[in-house]
Amino acid sequence: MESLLSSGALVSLIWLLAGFPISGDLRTSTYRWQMSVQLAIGLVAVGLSSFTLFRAMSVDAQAFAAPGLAGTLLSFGTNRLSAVLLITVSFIGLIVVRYSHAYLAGEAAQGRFLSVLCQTLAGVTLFVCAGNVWLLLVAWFFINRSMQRLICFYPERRTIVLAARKKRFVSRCSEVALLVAAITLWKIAGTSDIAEINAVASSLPVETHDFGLWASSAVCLALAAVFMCAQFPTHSWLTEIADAPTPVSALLHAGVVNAGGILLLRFSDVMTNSGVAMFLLIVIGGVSALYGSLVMLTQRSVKVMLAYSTVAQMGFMLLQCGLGVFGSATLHIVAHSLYKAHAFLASGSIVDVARGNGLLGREATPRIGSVIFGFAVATTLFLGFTRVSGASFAQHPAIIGFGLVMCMGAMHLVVQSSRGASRVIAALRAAGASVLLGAIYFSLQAVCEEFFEAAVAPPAPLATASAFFFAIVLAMFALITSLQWALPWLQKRRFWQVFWVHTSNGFYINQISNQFLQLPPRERNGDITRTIG
Amino acid sequence: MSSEKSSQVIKFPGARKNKPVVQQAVQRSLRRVAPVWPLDGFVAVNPFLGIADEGFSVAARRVSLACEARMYMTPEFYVSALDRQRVKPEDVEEAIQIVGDCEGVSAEHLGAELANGAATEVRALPTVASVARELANTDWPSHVVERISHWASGYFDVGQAVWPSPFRELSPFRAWLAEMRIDCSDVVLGINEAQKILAELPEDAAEACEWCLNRLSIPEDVVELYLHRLQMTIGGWVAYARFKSWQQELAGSEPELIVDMLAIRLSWELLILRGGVAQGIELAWRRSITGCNADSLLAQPVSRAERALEIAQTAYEFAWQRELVSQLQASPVSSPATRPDVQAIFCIDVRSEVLRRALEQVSETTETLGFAGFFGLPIEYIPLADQQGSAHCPVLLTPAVRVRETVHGQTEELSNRLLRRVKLARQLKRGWRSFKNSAVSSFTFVESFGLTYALKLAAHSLRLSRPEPNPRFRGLPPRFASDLGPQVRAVDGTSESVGFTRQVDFAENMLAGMSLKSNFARIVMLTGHASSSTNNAHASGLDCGACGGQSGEASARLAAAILNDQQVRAALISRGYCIPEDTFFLAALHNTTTDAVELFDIDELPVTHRSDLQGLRANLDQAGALARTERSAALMLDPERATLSEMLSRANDWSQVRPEWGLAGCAGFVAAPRSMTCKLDLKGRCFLHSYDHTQDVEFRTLELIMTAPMIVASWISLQYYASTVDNRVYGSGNKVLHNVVGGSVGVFEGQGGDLRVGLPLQSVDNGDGPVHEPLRLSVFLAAPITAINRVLEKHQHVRDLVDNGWLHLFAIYDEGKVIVRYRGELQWDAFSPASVQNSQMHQH
Repeated sequence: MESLLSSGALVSLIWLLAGFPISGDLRTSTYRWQMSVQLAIGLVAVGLSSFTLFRAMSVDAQAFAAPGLAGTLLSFGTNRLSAVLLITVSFIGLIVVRYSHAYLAGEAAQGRFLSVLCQTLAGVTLFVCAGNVWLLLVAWFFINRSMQRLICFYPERRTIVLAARKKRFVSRCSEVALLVAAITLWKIAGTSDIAEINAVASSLPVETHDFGLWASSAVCLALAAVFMCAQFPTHSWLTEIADAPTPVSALLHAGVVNAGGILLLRFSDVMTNSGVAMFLLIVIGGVSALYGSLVMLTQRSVKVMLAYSTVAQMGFMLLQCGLGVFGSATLHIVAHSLYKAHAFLASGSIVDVARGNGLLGREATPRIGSVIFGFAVATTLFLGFTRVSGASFAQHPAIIGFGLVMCMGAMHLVVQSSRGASRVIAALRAAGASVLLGAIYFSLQAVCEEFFEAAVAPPAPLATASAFFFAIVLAMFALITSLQWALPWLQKRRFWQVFWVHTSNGFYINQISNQFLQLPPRERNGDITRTIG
Repeated sequence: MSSEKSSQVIKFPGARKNKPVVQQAVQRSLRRVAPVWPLDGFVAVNPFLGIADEGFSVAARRVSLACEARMYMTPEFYVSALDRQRVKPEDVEEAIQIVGDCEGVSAEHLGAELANGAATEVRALPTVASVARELANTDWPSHVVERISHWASGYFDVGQAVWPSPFRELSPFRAWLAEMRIDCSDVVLGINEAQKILAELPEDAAEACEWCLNRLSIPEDVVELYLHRLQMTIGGWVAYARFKSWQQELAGSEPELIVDMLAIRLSWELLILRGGVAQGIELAWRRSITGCNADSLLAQPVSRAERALEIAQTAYEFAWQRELVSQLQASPVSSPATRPDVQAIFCIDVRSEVLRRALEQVSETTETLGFAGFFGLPIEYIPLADQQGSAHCPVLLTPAVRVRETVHGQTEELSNRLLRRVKLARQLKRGWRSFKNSAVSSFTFVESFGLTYALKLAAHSLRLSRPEPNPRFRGLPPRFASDLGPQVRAVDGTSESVGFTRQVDFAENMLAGMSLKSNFARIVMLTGHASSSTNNAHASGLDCGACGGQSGEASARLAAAILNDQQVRAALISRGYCIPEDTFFLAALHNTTTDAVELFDIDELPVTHRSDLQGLRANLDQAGALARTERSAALMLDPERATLSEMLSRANDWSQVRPEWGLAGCAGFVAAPRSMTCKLDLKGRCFLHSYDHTQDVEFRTLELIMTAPMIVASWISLQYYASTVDNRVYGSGNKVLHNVVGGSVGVFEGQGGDLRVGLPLQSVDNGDGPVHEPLRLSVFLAAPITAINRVLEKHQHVRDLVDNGWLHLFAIYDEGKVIVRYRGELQWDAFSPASVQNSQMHQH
């Protein structure tokens, strides 16, 4: 059996199996029975994914790289990276399927929805463990198609039709980019096997031509990733997906948009070879991270806010890829998936936060003392980190840079916590929390780097242009962080008022793209969304 | 999109002073849209509040002109009800008599008439946006809604955006102007002249309205309808603005915020008209608006199809009334009890009826009463360590006293220390939330703590935890959670808690209100109610509406504390209420999701009452089980699966969109002694208010019932009615698409569009069709008609409701044997006895 199919491929098959057509509704015992079967199958998928990881850890990663029908179209590559991603996708998939059983109860098309949901999961798991570029391409097409079906669950809603049209356009772009990349890689590497392509790429001399075929395939991969990850300025479909049921958003944000990142991780050796592709990722990722996090601050509905947050997080992840820290990028993908799936599924709970006066956005400017204290804590953390890790800016600019981002976060935590009557105690507690935060952050980074050492390419030296642009992005991060403390002050400045208006509109990207892909106006006023019953 | 040069745009005659007729029309239009309460206290509102001064059928015509809303179910619905014999021919005949002027629609042909009339629909009045849509092939109405909604969600946001609107200190119109003068959307949308028009607009909202109206050349008699139409295009946000100005309106002032909203929407009309978006728009607009004539639109003879719907709806209601009336008349009157062991007082909420009936069934010696769940205490309840609280009283009232929450059983020093601790915990939590949700720091958060969400996902899915802790217990160490309760008397004697004379007044009103003057039981249980659900944006809509969408716990505990006070009791004697010494008032909370009843402050119960308490507990457990079994069918559960643990797990399920059915099914309101109804199975469909008119000397209690609980009940019933008949306009749509706006302001259905009002589809529909039967409320008052008439004469808004057909009114005589129907104009008819007998015969 093992010679035929890897356990990763089995997970994909299992999810396909879980997508059996379900009939009836929650009241009937047949439905409940089918639901139990589906959840049990999902649980098996999670179990088998864990088993895959166990195997991948016990076997030498390189030797384990290509079981399945090696050399044919049905080859699978399972290593630590794909095993971890398999677990993540299957786990989130199981949660989302379970959630949808009660959540969509009463919808006429609930059975079909669950089938397509499971099929999408089959696509994503196939994508994660496909061994050659053709299978990868098939999985990529399949994910886009089934996601499209999920998004259009209410085809009578005009806003979703528009969003789906944009999404289709962006998906086609990513498919073309991936197709070109696949053909080029197959031609120049002489093999379609991903592990072999990576091996060939890593054996190349470091400074290859930036405009050669390797470089162009890397650029195509980068573009495919950028299109899939809803990066600026192709993100506008993502913010409009809120017109599909919540579980679709959860799956999309947690398991589908990051497929772009997974693609880069799987071709990390190809990517590190091309300075241009890496620079492209740094620019687009950096801009999207800045754009997403700024626009996110001004959004007033929870799902749209989360969508912009995804744009920013994916941008940050691509920035990590562009800087060659693929281990950190893997951690980011997994952690973000879990976080964002939860955030969407729990989005109704924001009212509980409001009922408990827990909403933000009306804070006074912090005292100068707490800013100084926060700065001191962050600096200490940073110095401690450089001392322990022995990293230096000259040798490991990316690691140092992301360490700085972490310290900005820690400083933000201290500054925002040190308010109220007992602010001294609060500041001390927050400082303690920051130290803990720093410890968790740095140990996770170290663990990931070691854990995925064999699965992804090692960090490559940074080109000057990349380092320069990264420095600019870091400076902007620092600026945005401190701007958030000065909000009450900004509110009264004309420049920032103007800036706020443009930012809250997402700099009009959605509207401009709507003008391009406009639909003919509907006959009657209002969206009629009665599909229940 | 055409971008015609402005020189070619036809100019209308310049400014003319608006005539008083127009100004009055503007004033009238300001109250047409009903308010909507935000999600942290989502109480029911009559969505037809602004049009209740008109008859139901005229209003139906008005809303179809204003927003193409329906006020009846679809013809197929009634045809099916006729086919199923849910509505019988005699109901139709009676309905034809009552509705009158039927142009030959007869009982036997009603079904055919309904089927024929299905296609006739009234189109809404044109707006400049809708004319532009036809002309320019661009969806201007949606663009306008989208843009206004974008502005409004930022302006009214209460804390979703970390970076809030810098203009929220300004009035709505000024804030909108400030934003629009910066916003570049007009360029993207191709409104070339936008900035010029905006620069000319007056800064004052009322002046801007006049400015725009002058340039839109609306025929005078259409102005009001047109403005109503405009408001309904952004109806959700207008409703929210109406909520914001509700408090001032209670005090009698004008709804100023609505003028602002109107000015914004009118400005958009002007932007489209003069902005150069379509060639020939001015001419097209003039042609379509001058073709409209309000009188002919509103007063034109009602079509046969509309008549048929009205008859069908009325007959549908008669069918239900006939069942109830025959039940009431057939019900044996229970003998006046000797002293009951327990008197359990529940909220009038329809969900109480099920449990009350079960409790009486379990225990012969338990008497139940119905009273508004805030127990007549108009309080603002301030949660622990907070500065402000929320009103725990019906939205018709303003809170008269502020009551703080406190941790009981603590010395002052300890409780101060605890308070500091809670405040610190909350501050740290806020800091943490800020760390989690801010730009840049959120990257660090995800990388450091994102993995922990695997545990959360698993725990929530296994129903072991909820995404956000119960707001009440924020920052409080768990061991103190059960000690939280209202502080009856201020520790330091400040005016915040309830003064002594006030307490006595409250006690007297309470006892008078529930007609409880004598024969007090040993234990009187004051039962508030609350729901429990997880991850439910509309959770507060399931809580006690009489307590402003909050839990009824605080009110019940406060009421019990007041009535247990020896001094208060002593003072009550002089007012004619003699409470025996062995009577103890016990506060309780009915969890409407699980039907469990929690008892409070039992350590204050005298030792002599311990055995009574044990008995009560056993009875409550049994009654809860009975009630759960009864509710199981509607919840899609097998009766044997409807256990307490199953209900709890349902309440803790973060994916559950129907934790309970709330007040779905509500149809009747009965104010009578319980002895008249206690043998009846009312299926959880009636509001039950205890009322004994023989104790009500000057009919003050009757007046109170008709002006407060009855109004609130009709609001609830009309909210369910409207959300069922037209969820697009009056409901908040599909819950699986809900996207909470502004922290707790309301929901969008999807990523944008107008703010949605009313109930989600899932609250009235189970997938097969409506679970809520859309019936206007039938009110049964066991009181003399002279007294009822006097109240109607005194209160015009109550009379509007009954005279205009927004609810049905009946009076009960002779312990339920004689029932008369209100026919309008203070006239009453006997409830046709023949038809009742008929229906009784059908039952046997």
